[in-house]
Parts: sequence; structure tokens; C-alpha cells
Amino acid sequence: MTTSTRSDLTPAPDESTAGEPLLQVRDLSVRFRTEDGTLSAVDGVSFDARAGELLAVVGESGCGKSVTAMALSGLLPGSATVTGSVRLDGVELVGAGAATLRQARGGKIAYIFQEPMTSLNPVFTVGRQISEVLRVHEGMSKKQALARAAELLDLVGIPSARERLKQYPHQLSGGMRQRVMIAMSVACNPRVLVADEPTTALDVTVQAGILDVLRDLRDRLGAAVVLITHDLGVVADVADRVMVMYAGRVVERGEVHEFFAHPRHQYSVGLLGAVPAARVHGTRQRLREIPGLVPVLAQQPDACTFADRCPAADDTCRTSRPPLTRAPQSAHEAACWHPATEVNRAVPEAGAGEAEART
Amino acid sequence: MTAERVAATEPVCELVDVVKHFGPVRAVDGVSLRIHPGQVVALVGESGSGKSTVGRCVVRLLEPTSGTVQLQGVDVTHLSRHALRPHRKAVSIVFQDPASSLDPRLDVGAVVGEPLRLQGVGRGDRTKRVGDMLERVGLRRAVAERYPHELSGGQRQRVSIARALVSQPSLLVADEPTSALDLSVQASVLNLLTDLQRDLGFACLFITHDLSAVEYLADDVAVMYLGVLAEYGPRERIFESPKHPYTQALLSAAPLPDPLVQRQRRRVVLSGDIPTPLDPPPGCRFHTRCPVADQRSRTEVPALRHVAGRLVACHQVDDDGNGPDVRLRPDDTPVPSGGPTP
Repeated sequence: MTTSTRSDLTPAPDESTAGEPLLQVRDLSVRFRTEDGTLSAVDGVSFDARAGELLAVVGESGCGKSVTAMALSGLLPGSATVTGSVRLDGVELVGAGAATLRQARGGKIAYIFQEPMTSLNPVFTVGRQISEVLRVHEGMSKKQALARAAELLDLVGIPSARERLKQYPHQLSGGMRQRVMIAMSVACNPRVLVADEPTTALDVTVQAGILDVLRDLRDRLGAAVVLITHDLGVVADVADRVMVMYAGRVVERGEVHEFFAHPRHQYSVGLLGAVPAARVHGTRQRLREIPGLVPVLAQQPDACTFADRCPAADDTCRTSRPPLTRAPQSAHEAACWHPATEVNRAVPEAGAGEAEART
Repeated sequence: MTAERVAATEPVCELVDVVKHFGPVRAVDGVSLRIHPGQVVALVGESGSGKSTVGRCVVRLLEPTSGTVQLQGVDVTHLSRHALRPHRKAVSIVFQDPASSLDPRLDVGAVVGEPLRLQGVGRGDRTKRVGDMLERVGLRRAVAERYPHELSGGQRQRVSIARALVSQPSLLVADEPTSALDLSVQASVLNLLTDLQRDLGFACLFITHDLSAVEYLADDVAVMYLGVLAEYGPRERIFESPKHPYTQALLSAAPLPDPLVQRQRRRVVLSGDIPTPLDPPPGCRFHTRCPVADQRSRTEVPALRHVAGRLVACHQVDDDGNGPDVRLRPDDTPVPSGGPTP
């Protein structure tokens, strides 16, 4: 992979000097009651989201990343049991009453979902849907709200905003709809913006524009953005910090450059190796495979849940749960008994017999 | 598509000016492609570009409105279902979502063996060939007795691949075969396709929007936009020096999983979405979103012509391959943003 100078990179945020985080999640767990018994979806997740920072939550389907996002402001159905603590700007949300949650949602914490068409109401104009948020939360008059709605459409890069206000969702393209969703989400200046796979349904040339909007909201509004994605390219593009989830647990957490340069958990190493990457001098490297499947867990075992698929697993991994531990002289954490080093990360390259020369 | 390769072999599949309209919808509007034995041609484009329709015309799930489809030198464009039978063996297709493309009522053995049964292969021989094929795609022979719903997404896609390859086709059309799969599973399916393609030697039309997979697998790349080809040529030329503004935008927009590289790239954000194929724009179809379109682009359809070792359809590119790079601004020095190629 090509590397280039670090000259224009922003320095990593210093964890020790950062202020009280906007969103503080501690030991969050979610269990679902199902017909087949209970299911543990999220297990002991802790993280902070800070103002002006974009945290990417990465993982494959079933890792618990979306459930974590929904659990933050009590959006899960009644079959879910949520324990632990979510503090948003000093207010505890786990177990909070309906009034507290309603005040938090839309006001302090806002969501953007994957499919804008199902999140927008097809029978109301865009202007009405955005201004409704403003009238309910900010107590604006209809006229004020529409004027503000036009400003918001402008903010998210929708041309001729005044005209767009009169349109219905079906008259907009996918990228435009997602921008409308974002405009609605940021209408009340949320402190925390949770974006769950916001570009997955969009084409890449449109995705780039939406990512620009998220970056802009972080920088201009100082929002804490929590971006949930499975796309490591998107993470590399916009994230400040990365949190990797696997089978309901946080397995790795760190600053974005550190994560890509020195992934520590064996699962992260596997994920990064699975992306088809550069050909080196016309040679195609064999992609790294992770054998097996993400487990569906009724109970969280006292073990590493990745052990069954891990090339480095031993008896310790199968009998004892690895805690998140920091790397020496670094804020980079991984929950792995055998964190990757330069040596064992080189496995795909070492299997040079499998790499084939291409002409 | 190098000159030597063209001269040396007869193509497995040749499309000449294929047009497919669905009523007023002009999904494909004149696409010509040539796929040689053992070659992987990637057909790239965004949703609505018509790439899947081209794939369905190749396997004759759809009958083209005009133009010709040749499989191994035989014109199959307008053959009836019955007349097509003998040629079906030569080409098969794998779809994006194995959950909906496998019959849930048939066990895996029946699913994979069906193409053989239709060719009149006897039961005993069929069981053996199905078992062999399942092993080839990394599944146990015993999986033949299981049903699709008992398998994971990755295993189901392996079953689809086994079914497609059991009749030893000379061409496999793979329509977004990894898009519905998780990243770690995608890797194993891409590795499997690479291995099978090398060992069995079939040619492949790989339809995808995933540019990193294209760079990994393809020999030739054809970029489609709104029913027509924008650029078509050898992978390394397309990735290293894309000439069409749309190709440039597409390559620049796909983020690379390396923050050091990614954050130095200039990304081209195209305004709007792909226009509707009900009423494609006149002139160059890309002109409504193209940053360098001029009056000629708006009125005159650009011909697909040989430039700098590939085919490109753009008025702004001259015969020596000089043209605008929409990834650069006037004060910029060139940046290596074509793709992850060093």
C-alpha cells in the first residue's frame, strides 16, 4: 500500500486533556427476549463521544453496532432489556422517563438512518417535515420554521432550497433525500449526531457528498458524530477515532491513523486484510479470509468470542475474557490476549506461495 | 483488450451494439463488449447504469431489442427458448442475493444438479459431479442434503457458484456476487472465484459497483453510464490514467481503506443523481453532471473511439489521449488518485 507524508494530518486528540465528553456510555448491555430464549446483543460497551469529533463504529452484521446506537436514547422495542449507563450532557438516559427521552431525542441527540425513503413521510412536503421538528422542539412559528428549513437545506448542500421545500420525498433523488434527512436531524442543533450506515444505500459519487456534509457538521457545528459503518474506506476517509465491535463487544478502540497502521485485535487485522487492496507491482495478494461465522449468543461466555475464528487463539482465549487494555505509550486499546504485532500481522504476505503473479 | 489477445483467440462472447429497451425505458442503448476465453471483464457502473441488463442479455434471460449477442461464434440474439438450449451450457450466471435466487424447496443437491438434469445427465453421474463441485467451492459433499435456509449467506453464495459452474460453462456472468455479503465473507468468495477461474479457465463478466474488487479481479474494465459505455480497456490503464471524466469521478469517489492515502486524495463530488433512462440527456449522457461539459457535449453524442490504449467516449479527450482531469484544480499538481495502484 502506498504511503505518503503525514504533513497535513491533524494531530491525534490527547485523551488526557480533553474535557468532559458529551456522550458517555458505560457498560451498556442489551438483551432481547425472543421465542427461543434470551439473546445477548450488546455486552458491556463503553465509549465516549466528544464535541467536534467523529467516532466510527465498525463491524459486520450482527456485531451489535446498530443496537448500540438505538439503545443510546431508548429507541429499542419492549423486548429489549438495557442496562448500564448513557450520559448525554450530564443527563442519564438509561431508565429515564418518556419526557426526558423525548427532550433528548431530536434536541440533543439526533439520528440519520440508512434508507431515507422509509424514514421520510411520503405524503408531506419536505418543508413541512423539517419545519415540524422546529415548531415542536423550538416553538417557532410556521413562517420562522420554513425560513430556518430553507437555511438547513442550504447547509446540507441542496441547491435552490426554497423550491425544494415544496417538493415531496419521491420527487427527490436518493442523495437529496438523505440530505433532507440530515437537515431534519440537525434542525435543532443536536450535540450528538448518530448516523447509522448513512451512505450504504447510495452510489459512491453521491456518498462522497454526504460524507462531506457529516465532516462539515462536525467542524462547523461542533457536533459529536457517531458514524456506524461496515465500510473501512469510509472510516479511513472521515473518522477521528475508531471503535470495532464483534459479537456485541468492543474489541478495539483507538485513533484512526493508529488503527489502520497498527491494528491490534486479531479480528481487526482480519477485517483490514479482507479488503481487496493495491496490487504490488502487478501482483495480486490473496485476500485474508476469516473462517466461520459471527456467533449468536444467548449468554456472554467468559472467553474471547472471536476465539473460534482466530488464528492466534489458545486455551487462555477460550477460558478467560480479555479486557480492553492499552498498548504501551498509547491510548489504543484492544481486548485480545494475543494482540497483533508486526510479525504475526504479516501472515497474508508470508503466504507468498498463494500470491500469484499477474501479467 | 490487447491486440494480440484479439488476434489469438475467438471471443467466448461478443456483444455488438446491444440495445435493450423496456417500453420507454432505454436501459441499454448500444453496448459492444468482447470477452475472450479465460478473461475477466468487469462491467462497472452505478445503480441505473444498465449493467445488470447487459448481463441478462448475455445469458439471454432477456432478448435484446437490437444488436447481436454471440456466444462462441453463434448468434443467439433472437433464438427461441428451445433453440437456445444447447447454448445454455456455455454460459451461466450468479446473482447478488443467493437467498432469493435459490429455490427454497429444493435441497442443495437438486439445486446444483438441475443444470445437469436438464442436459440429460443420469442420476448417478449427477450425484458424483454435484459432490465434486461442492468440494471445489469449499463445501462438504454432505451439504447436498441440506436446504438453502440451513446455510449461511456465504455458504449459499458458494452453492450458487457451484450451480453455475457444474455444467462447465466457458463464461460466467457474476452480477454483484459479493454485494450482499459481509466483508470477511466477501473476501472468501472473491478468493474462491479467483481460484476457480484460474483452475477451470472460464471467462467471467463481473458486474459490480465495488471498484476495489474490480482492481483485484479484472483484466479489462468497462465503465457504463446511463446505458452506454463511457470507457473500456485494460484494467491498469483505466485505473492508472482514466480519461473519461465519469471514470475519473468514480475512481476518485471510492474511499480507500488507508487514511494516509485517502485524506490526500481529491474527491470529485458529482452533483445530482444519474438521470432517468426514460429520457436520457441529449449529446453526451454524462453532460448534466460533468464538470467539464461544453456546448458540443450538450448536443453531439461522443463516439466511443480508440485513445491511449483504450476506448473512450468524450469530446474533451483528444486523439493523443490528452484531456481534462476533473480530479485536479488549476493550481494543483497531479496526485495519484486513480486508485490504490502504487
